Amino acid sequence: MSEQPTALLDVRGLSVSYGGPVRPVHVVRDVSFALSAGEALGIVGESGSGKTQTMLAALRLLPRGGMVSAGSVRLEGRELLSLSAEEMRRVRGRGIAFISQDALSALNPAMTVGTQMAEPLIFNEGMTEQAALAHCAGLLDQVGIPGAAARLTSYPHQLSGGMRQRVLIAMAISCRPKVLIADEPTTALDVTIQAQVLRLLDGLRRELGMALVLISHDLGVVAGVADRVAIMYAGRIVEMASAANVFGRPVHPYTGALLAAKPRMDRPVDDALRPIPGLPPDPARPPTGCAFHPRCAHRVSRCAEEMPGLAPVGADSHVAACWRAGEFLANTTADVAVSLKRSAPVGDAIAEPNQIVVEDLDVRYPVRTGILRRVTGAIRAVDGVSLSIERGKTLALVGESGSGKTTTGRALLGLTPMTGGRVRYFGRDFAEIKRQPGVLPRLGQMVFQDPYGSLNARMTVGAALGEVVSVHGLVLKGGVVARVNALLDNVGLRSEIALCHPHELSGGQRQRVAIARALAIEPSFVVCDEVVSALDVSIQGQIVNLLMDLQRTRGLTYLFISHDLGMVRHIAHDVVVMYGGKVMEAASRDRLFSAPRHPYTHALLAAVPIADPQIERRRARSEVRSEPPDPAHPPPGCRFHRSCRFAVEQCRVEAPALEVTDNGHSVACHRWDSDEVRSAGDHALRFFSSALTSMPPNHTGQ
Amino acid sequence: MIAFVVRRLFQTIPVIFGVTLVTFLLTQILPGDLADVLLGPTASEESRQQLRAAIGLDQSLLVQYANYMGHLLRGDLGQSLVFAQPVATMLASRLANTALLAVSAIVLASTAGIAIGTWVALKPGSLRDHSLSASVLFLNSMPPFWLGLVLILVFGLELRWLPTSGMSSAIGGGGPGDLAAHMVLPTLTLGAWSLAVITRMTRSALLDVIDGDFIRTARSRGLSEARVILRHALPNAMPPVITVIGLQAGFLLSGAVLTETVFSWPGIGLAMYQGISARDIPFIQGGILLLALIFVLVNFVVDALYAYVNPKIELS
Repeated sequence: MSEQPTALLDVRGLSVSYGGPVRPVHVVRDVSFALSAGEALGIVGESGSGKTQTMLAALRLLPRGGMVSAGSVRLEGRELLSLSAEEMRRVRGRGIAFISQDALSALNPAMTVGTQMAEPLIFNEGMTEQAALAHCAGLLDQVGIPGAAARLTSYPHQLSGGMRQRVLIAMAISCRPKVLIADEPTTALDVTIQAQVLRLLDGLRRELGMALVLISHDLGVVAGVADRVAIMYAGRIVEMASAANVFGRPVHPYTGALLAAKPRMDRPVDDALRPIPGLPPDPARPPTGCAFHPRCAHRVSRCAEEMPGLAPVGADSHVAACWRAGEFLANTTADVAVSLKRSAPVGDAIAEPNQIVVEDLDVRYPVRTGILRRVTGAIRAVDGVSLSIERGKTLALVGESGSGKTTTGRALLGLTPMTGGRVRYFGRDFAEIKRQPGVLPRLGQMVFQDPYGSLNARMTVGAALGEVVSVHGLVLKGGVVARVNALLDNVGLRSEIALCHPHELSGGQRQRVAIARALAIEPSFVVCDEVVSALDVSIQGQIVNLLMDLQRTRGLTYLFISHDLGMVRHIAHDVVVMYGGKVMEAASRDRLFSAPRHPYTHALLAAVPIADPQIERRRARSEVRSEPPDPAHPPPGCRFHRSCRFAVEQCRVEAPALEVTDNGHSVACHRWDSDEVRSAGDHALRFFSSALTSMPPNHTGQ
Repeated sequence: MIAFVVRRLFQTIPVIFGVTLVTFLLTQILPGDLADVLLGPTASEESRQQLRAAIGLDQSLLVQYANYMGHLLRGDLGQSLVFAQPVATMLASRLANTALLAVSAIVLASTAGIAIGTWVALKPGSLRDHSLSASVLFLNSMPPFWLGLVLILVFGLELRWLPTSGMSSAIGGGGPGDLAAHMVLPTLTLGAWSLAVITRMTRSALLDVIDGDFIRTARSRGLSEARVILRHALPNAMPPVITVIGLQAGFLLSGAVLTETVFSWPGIGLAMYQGISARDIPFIQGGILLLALIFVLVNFVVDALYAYVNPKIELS
């Protein structure tokens, strides 16, 4: 920690508790850091680590029930915690500005963008309405929103996710704050949009000389922007150092474990992931000693007895709260070699009874307009998609929101009616299966992204699972409980869980229950729709390992829908990349991750954030410059041409067909074979490889 | 939004048609028919049959309904037996009085309800919140006629501050001040229940909204607390409140019958009470039709308002 009196924002010994003074639950404990002008600090931690609460406390915007129980927050030497409400109000927006996670809920849905942007300019800065609106148009332009002036009259729901986040950023910088706090600013966004927003934030910080606090659960997001990084766990900072040191020479076992929990390029892909075992502690009942010790692979007896304080390790004001920090620092060694395991190409001739085959799948939704609600057009959510999945294998469907990947998955299970095409399940026609009641659910089941929304809040886990079992008549009456217990056991849960309601479970446990529910009627095919993206990094690996185990033991066939290429490379056998409702590229996993051919695949690969500050800084971030196409009015020619830097005249007029090249690798691009596209692919692959290898060798023996 | 409003307007057509059908059939359900009422219990069966034939009651239901609709479209609701004038004329002369009472009651209930609801939502769990919420619950559980009687006893008979019946004083009355004095007690009586419901709905809707991210965004930008509440929180809390205000229209109409009777307010409610007591079938039929149409109209206005406060609605 720097002791210089020149710190712009100086947080000392800050503690936040909930539940009043009688039975306080501490969510932030003794957090100290200093931020100088123009500096970028990354705060990384899982949900419940206190990273957001710390910054809300500094802004004095804690939710009801929360209070600062100790500490001080100084902005330019002025204590904020003792200011009057009116004085504090003047600090917000001008001294410290805040960007929150979900831009849709962070904007007022009933007010136009211009009106809400202009408010503080008119009422706090005393601008006229016209001047304020003109200023706002300038700000929108600055954050890269095309046609800025016209956007002022839009409502938030009329903008795309990326644009809403840009609006939120423009609002935050409108009064020229000295400190900008960005709380998970890219978590709700697609990976290519995330890259754009991060680059924008970093650029604005330099341009306006602001200090930036970037809060994220993803080390990779922070790596490219932050000068210094603080890792939080259970309300405390457990390690803080320059970005280079945190990523290059982490000394706290939690930092090391976080870095290791993501899929890695230097490990055989069929290897199990290395998640952090266990769950973060309940803030109401913290463990004695070091809060991380129950999950730590390197604990010694002292860890359970005594709480280690933040102490300097090594040089450059690197601090860590671990009894064994000194030891670990000495062990840190050199880089890890990149090796990409190549397996034999997938056999071409597979008998159809062992496949799920999709041919020319179309899903269109009618667009109704006018007073009479006549059908005037169609949204082409899925437009002529063909793919096949081998029994017992995993096909990953990759793409951004709006690519049609979820709709494809839903259509395969009959949850969304298909408007065209043909689907055959292991040799049986889908239309014929659908006519027989009760057969389709036993063939295919779905696990949804949000385990909070997909379980009935008023039913116990046992009742929810028991219902599925009895409705389908799988067991006799007396056997339901035994069957439910067996299901819970299959997904690694204790049978007591059957008595719990969903709200009593953690996110990871809930997702396990959702998987158990899908498996209850023993389907042969499971659609996993972004099943890990709502979970903490340390839990994601546990769920993916579970899915892979289940596949091995039961021969399940998966359609794994995801935007996380690292995870996809880990779990999938084959990969299909979608964009704007069409297939861009399809190949075996090993082909795709060794010779990606489509420029969109390249963009996706290159956009994966890398937990290595050197690489993050060097690269020109994103290759996708525009938003996905409007599915009601798809552009002529290739769907991707507006965002593609290799697009030529042919791409603008003629849609490329999906052509099979070699080794069963197909690609829909006029130019995939050109030298520039090929070299861009190599370039993207290098970034992706470094994204999955840039982590230290120690602390990984979990 | 205009397309939505126009579409919603077209949707009211089948509803109105249904309303006429129901009011027509209602008289079929009532024991006895117009002939029985007109001739009284002592008339002979033969004269009943003659009268039935004369006013068309011996024809099939379909023909009767067609006749009824034909008259209706010409604005003819029949002749009231009690008031000895055309039903339409009678209703028209009383409508303004009821509207005056109902509109002032709903305006009072909405403004006071939203204001009190907002005020208590600012400090949930405080003494202010608990005491006001308790009194609101008390108002909520009180039938209007009973509240009317209590008000008459206290302010009319004991304190003698306000008149207790009619619309104007018999002697030297008729001015706006006099009308206002006569309106105070009926308006309070009629609006009290709605006031309670609107207060409670505003409080809970605002509490739902006030923890939202966009409120935190507004605060984080240094906006004044008044602006945060009035411009950001309140408009977003309005949709359920507007729905409830719309539903109050129905309760106000039934409440008007009781309130007008208690205070002898010369409106449709009092007339309906008299009409029902005397089995004045044409008048009951016309009155119910009018009240139902008002209800449909109010619902339409509520939906249009809903579209105005929630810009997303036209998409769905």
